[in-house]
Amino acid sequence: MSVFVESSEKKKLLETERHIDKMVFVLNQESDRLIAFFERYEQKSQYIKHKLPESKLIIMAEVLDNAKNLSSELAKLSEPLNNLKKINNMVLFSMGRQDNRAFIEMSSNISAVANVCLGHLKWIKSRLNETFDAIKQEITKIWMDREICEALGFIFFLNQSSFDQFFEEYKNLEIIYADLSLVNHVEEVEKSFDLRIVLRMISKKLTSDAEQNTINNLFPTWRTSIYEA
Amino acid sequence: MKNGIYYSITPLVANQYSSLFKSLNQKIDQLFEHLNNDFLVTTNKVKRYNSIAREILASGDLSQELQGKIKTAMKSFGSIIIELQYHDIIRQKLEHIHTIELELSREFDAIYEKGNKAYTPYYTLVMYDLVVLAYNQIKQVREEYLAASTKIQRQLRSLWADREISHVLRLFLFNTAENLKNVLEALDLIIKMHEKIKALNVDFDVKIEDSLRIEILTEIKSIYTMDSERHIFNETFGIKEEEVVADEDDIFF
Repeated sequence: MSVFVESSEKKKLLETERHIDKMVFVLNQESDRLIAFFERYEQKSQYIKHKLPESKLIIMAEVLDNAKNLSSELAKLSEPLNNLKKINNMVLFSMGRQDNRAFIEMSSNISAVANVCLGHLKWIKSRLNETFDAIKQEITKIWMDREICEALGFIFFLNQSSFDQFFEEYKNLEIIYADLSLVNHVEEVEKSFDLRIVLRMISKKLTSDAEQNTINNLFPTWRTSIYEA
Repeated sequence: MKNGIYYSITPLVANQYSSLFKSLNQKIDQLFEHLNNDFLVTTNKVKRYNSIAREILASGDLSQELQGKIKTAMKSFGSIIIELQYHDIIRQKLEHIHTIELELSREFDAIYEKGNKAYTPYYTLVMYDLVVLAYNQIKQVREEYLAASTKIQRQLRSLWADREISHVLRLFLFNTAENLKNVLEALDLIIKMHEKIKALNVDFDVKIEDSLRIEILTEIKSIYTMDSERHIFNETFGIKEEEVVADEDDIFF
């Protein structure tokens, strides 16, 4: 069994950090930008109260508030992205160590780790798309109401180039993890035994239930292990 | 079994393979870039040498022997330009592999998102056939690239070796080795990845009727526009077909 991860794999793992940082940057920046955008309309709505009936003012306030809350969800996706960094760091730390069996198993099962990271990444992307859809759904309520739209002078646009950059980094990250998923250092016989330890270590880094679901989805039986007790 | 199809693809496999085929296509895109550099560097240099040769011949102030040598050199340049068409052939072959692997990636994405029950794939049902086929096609591409590239190098070296010609035509050694290395490295990486995918022991359980398998593979075969591609296809699946005699079919496709 080859225990140590090759240097090219180490380089790839180090590279992921750069891509994750850029993705986190875009999410935080765009979240702040969108919150500020909706706040400006909230302020503006104070000056147009006389132009709209009470029922429409309520709808407008609700939409702007919901859109603002949803925008803040974008920044919250930084956390699961940073959790990916924690997993990477754990694997990087495990490389070359001979004094701790669990860490050796971590670097030996890099393929499984990469698979979890891939699933986690896809989950983050689906969350992002859901948030976009929800924002669009909210602001459509304003768009569909000509009276509110005109009174508010509402124009909405996403910073497309910024999100293009996000998805470019996503693509790079996905390819790195896909390549790492082809690395197989561990013998078949020992695989299932060691894998459970590794998954347990990873699951501790994925803090929410929703994030841990990725592991359950990919390895449905992993919890039936003595290590879970 | 639905319409003679039984398949069970775990989320683990769908997750990994959707990204693996994206990765393979990204490597093919990189290979396109290396091939393009290789093509541009060689074409530009050879065209430049050819125009210098034409100018010198037109000046007329040359010995009979040198005139003959320059004419021979011009023939070599012409033959190199023709030989460089292999880039276009290779590009088309790679595009065909790219198209198939893009479909596989999309299908695995859909299986991962929707699950086995909500989505029925098509090309994925013969995924291992397609991986073996792509592997054989790329191995062939590698051989073709190496053969054509070596032939061009040999012709250029024999021109460089003639001191008179290389002086008169201002032939400078240009670095094709770097391009060659990049192209071969990219090809080898793609070959290696296909080898690994072939060898992966994953939970991929698909049973389909032979008629469906043949239908899908026939559809794939129709993507191929070159006889040499169809030849590899037939070899891969042990199909005996009457060979069409067309030595230069690839060149003039």
